[in-house]
Parts: sequence; C-alpha cells; structure tokens
Amino acid sequence: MTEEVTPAAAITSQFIASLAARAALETPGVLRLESTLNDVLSRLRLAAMEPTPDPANELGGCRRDSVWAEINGGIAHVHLEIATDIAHRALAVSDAVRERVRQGICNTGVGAGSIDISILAIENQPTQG
Amino acid sequence: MALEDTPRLGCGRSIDHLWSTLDAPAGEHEEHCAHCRDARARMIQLRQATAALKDAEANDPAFTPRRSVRDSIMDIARTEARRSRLLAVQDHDGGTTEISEQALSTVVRFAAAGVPGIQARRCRIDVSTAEKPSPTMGTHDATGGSLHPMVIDLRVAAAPKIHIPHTVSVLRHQIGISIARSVGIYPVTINITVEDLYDD
Repeated sequence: MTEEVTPAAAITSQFIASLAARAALETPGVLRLESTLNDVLSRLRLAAMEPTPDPANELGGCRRDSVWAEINGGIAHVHLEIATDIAHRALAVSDAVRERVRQGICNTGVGAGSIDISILAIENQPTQG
Repeated sequence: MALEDTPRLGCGRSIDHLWSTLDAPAGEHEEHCAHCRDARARMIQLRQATAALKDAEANDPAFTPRRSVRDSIMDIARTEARRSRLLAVQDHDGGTTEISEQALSTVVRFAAAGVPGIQARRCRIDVSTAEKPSPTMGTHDATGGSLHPMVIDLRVAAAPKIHIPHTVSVLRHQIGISIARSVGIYPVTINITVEDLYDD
C-alpha cells in the first residue's frame, strides 16, 4: 500500500479506500458496493497468508471491498464498483458518488485524481421487512 | 417490480444451464451467440483453473475450503459471467463511468415487459467510444461529461394478432424512456427485430 506524507499527516491508500467506500454508501441511489471475484480472492489471500497484515509492507494500491485506491505523487486515484437503484438515474448517482469521494479526498490534504466508477448492477431497492 | 432470480446472459440463456452443459459441444445458438461464446470461454478457463488447483491440493487437507467459501466464490463467478461486458458510457474530467451490459439489459427487459404482446429475447448493447459526441440529446450530461452514443439491439417474440408496427413503436419509446430515466442517457439507436411468434 502506498503511504505518502502530506503537510498534515501520512495518508494511506487503505484510508482513501475506506473513505471512498463510505462516501459511496452514503450517496442516495447506491444500493451496495458490488463484490467481484477479485474482492473475494483478495480477502481469501489476506485471510490465508496475512492473518495480521502489515500495511506498511504492502506495495502498490489498496483493494478493499470493491474499492481500489492508490496514492501517487500526492494524488489519489480511486475505482469503485457499485450497484445502483433502478429508481435513480445511474449516471447522476455516479456523478454524486464522484463528487462526494472527491470532496472527501480533498479534506485529507491529498489531491483528488481520477475517480472511476463501474456500475455492475441496476436493481430494485430491496423492500424493507 | 419483480426481477427474475435465475442468472441469465444478455441473450436470455441460463448461466447454470450453460455451466452444466460445458462438456457437450456448443449448440447452434451457442456457436453464433457472442454472449454464450464469451461466457463458455470464460467458464472453460475458470474450470481449467479450478481443476489445476484441485489437482494440486486434492490431497492436502489444509487446502480444503469450507463449503461456505466455495459457495461464495461460485456465486460471485456466476454473477461475473452474467454481467458480461463493461461499457464505457461517460467520460468525465474527474474519471470515467462504466455500466455492465447486463445492468443495461435489465432496464431494457423491464421496459419490454411492460409492453403487451412482446417477449424480450436477445439483447445486445454497444457504445461507441470512437465517435466524437454530438450535441444531440443524451451525449452531454449536466456536469460537463461526455456521454458516448448507445446502440441497443433487441430481438423479441410477438404475440399473434398484435399490430406489429404500432407495438414496436411503443416498445422503442418505452425502452428510450426507461434508459433515460434509469441510466440518464437517451440511446441514439434502438434496433428491434421481431424474430418469432409466441402463444399468449
């Protein structure tokens, strides 16, 4: 995982991934972060090989719960995989997620780079109960 | 609204059926259908990979996964096969947006389900990233992003006694409205082919 020192603090790509995931899930129209085989294999790999992972030893970007994040040259790049509610316009949801993530990243002191979004499913909002 | 639980490809074929018949030669449909060919190729790769892993670890109890783990992986694998391709529908200064063909097909099929006398069958959706966006409806969004032209090819079966030109016109309108409402882009082309009759 990349770690870069900003004037205020050291920000990790894992932190950016967590921040992006939360921002996405708080956006109206997002049903969930959509798991892919990469996520499952990533979790299995961590569970099997790194029971107590040491983030400082992990190189490259961080993939966590359908969110991939990388900090490069003081700029954070993010890729999210989501499912959206059919009652919302998917591209409007995507724009809203991008703006929330961008704002969240800017609040850390790191620059916001590309925020790519893959909408893997468009479905009904599950009924409560 | 109720969406079908059976995992299906964009052409309507069941993924479970495709998986269960992987050993058999591809049928006429599977030979010519891009969805089936792609899914079969991916499934064969998946099966070869899992077979290699299984052979290597078959005698090592430490590598025996719990049933829940195996089921999780297969659920995800089936879901990924169903998603088909990712289509880049929007370029934005801050990043891109892709939508899976399966997600778009869901919206198309839902629109078709609301048109009496029509059954949706194969659905293929493409976007052109080569074409420069034109200033027509649906090619620029409110935030300044560029929307790539979307083309929908839908094959349907029609009930007897319906007036096909009128019904197809209604269907085309409904698909356009549904994609605009649920996705936020108006397809530039909606090709509809009536390929069969079905009994009410």
